[in-house]
Amino acid sequence: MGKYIVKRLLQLIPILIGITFLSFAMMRLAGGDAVTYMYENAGAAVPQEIIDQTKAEYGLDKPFLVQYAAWFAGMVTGDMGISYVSHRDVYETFVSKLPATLLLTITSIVLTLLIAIPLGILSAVRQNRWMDYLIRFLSFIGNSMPNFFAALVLIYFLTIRLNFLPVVTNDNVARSLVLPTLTLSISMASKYTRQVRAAVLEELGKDYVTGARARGIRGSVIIGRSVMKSSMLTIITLLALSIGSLLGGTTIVETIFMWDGVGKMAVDAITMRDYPIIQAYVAWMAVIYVLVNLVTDIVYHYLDPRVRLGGEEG
Amino acid sequence: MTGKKAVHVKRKLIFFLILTLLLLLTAAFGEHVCPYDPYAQDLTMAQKPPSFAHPLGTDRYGRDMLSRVLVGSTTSIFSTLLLVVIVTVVGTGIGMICAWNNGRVDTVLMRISDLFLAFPGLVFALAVAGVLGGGVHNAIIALAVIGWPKFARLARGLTLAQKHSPYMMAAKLSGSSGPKLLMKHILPNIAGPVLVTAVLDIGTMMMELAGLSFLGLGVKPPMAEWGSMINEGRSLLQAAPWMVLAPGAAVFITVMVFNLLGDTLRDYMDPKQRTIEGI
Repeated sequence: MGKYIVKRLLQLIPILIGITFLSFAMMRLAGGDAVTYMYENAGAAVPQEIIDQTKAEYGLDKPFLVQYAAWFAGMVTGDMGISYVSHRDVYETFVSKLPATLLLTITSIVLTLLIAIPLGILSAVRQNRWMDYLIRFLSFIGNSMPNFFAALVLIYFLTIRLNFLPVVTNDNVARSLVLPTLTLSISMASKYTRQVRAAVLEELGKDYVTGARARGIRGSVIIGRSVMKSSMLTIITLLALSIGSLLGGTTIVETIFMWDGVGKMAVDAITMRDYPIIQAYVAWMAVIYVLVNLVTDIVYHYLDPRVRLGGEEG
Repeated sequence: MTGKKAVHVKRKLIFFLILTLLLLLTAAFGEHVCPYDPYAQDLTMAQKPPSFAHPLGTDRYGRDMLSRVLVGSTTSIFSTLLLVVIVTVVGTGIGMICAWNNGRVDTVLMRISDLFLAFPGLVFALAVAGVLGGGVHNAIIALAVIGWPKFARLARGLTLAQKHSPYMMAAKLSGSSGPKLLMKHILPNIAGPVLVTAVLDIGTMMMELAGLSFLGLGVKPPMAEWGSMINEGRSLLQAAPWMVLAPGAAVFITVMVFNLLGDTLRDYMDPKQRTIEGI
């Protein structure tokens, strides 16, 4: 087990270097005129010397690889430069906004699981009856709805028509968390209900279930004790894969609901061409994503006795 | 019993193919069938609710929503299809080449695809679209950059499975060369699963493309496109909800039709899956 983790951590190094390099290179490809753009934003025509001077100030006059090395070192030590727009420290800005996004991600995942697991099991157990059809129909609808449209529909009905929930409140985090969480969970839960259903159906078709039934064990016990245990593997894998789409999905939802997280920060930065912020956002999101995937692999490794006991090839 | 089921799936497939065809026809001729000029402003008619003259209402400049949704379908549907075609062709090509040459080319290309798969998709697309600046072309490029590795993976696996099969030996012995073997023998054998994956991807791609436009990183107003239309209507949600609901429903219905087509196509191509997945 320890050997496996070390191996995976070593594999992580080239990927991390690749990710950071790619995010950096991308910004530099387009970011050549960032300084000019910055002055245009301020509405002033500026002589070339001042542009050169500002470039030197931000380190934009050095060779590409030197810039990358400096930036990478900064990323590790928590010094990622200064925002072109707000002139505040990028790393601090990012860290101050990260908790809001993490909170939203976690509540969405929890709600997704609370919806998807029971509905998926119910749908599988009642296969091809009206309950199954209803659940599949609903999940299909949720699956075909872009989350920004779902968000606006929720706002329209719950806030404008029923005056039920606020879109933005400053005083009550829990209440303002409801709508964005609901939005993100609708599409995810729709997807996972189908997956849980498929996973449970596959397990139910296996011989040990028939055996257990023949021995007179109650259906709920079979589901709770055996089927759930083996279906958990599928569910965990799916959950990890969903983190990626969730990290991207929060950007749109955060923008709509004015949720002050890193996603909204990134969209704002993109419209203002605030490259240091975009760079930090892309690189850190990718790192978080890769780390989450790694943890999932390790958990998976630990949970699946076939993998755990079947040798160290991984 | 199985025969009956196969007929049922085939009928469903034909039904969804017809629906898809209708959508494509709308997209192709949207400009010609819309009742009003989608860009003509008439401020006396601004923000009117749906009526007989304007079945989907009018927007804040008095433009007819139905006409705008119809014209928007051209951009929304065709740019999505273009994106899916690019991703499928590029990804499949790369995957097949990797499997065929396994060696240094394979290692390098697969490591690159690993790298792209290591990014959370939309985050990367946002950044690419942001760096390139808005516009449909750039949004398509942004999503294509993150979309191809999935198809490269799939095609590589499928090609590897075919590579050492007896019929390939026979084709090799009869003197066919590399490119001919790939195009004439392997491609037809892996096309099924690739096609199913591509069709199942259309819905997601459409939502992502509309999402970029919604954020102002794709199609720019005044050009009619569903994502940017929803964004335009967002601030008037209370006064004129039809400005959001009309284009939103259009995206929703289109995505649903393509998803249903994809699911049915999968059932049709792979009868084994049907017993597990149901539907």
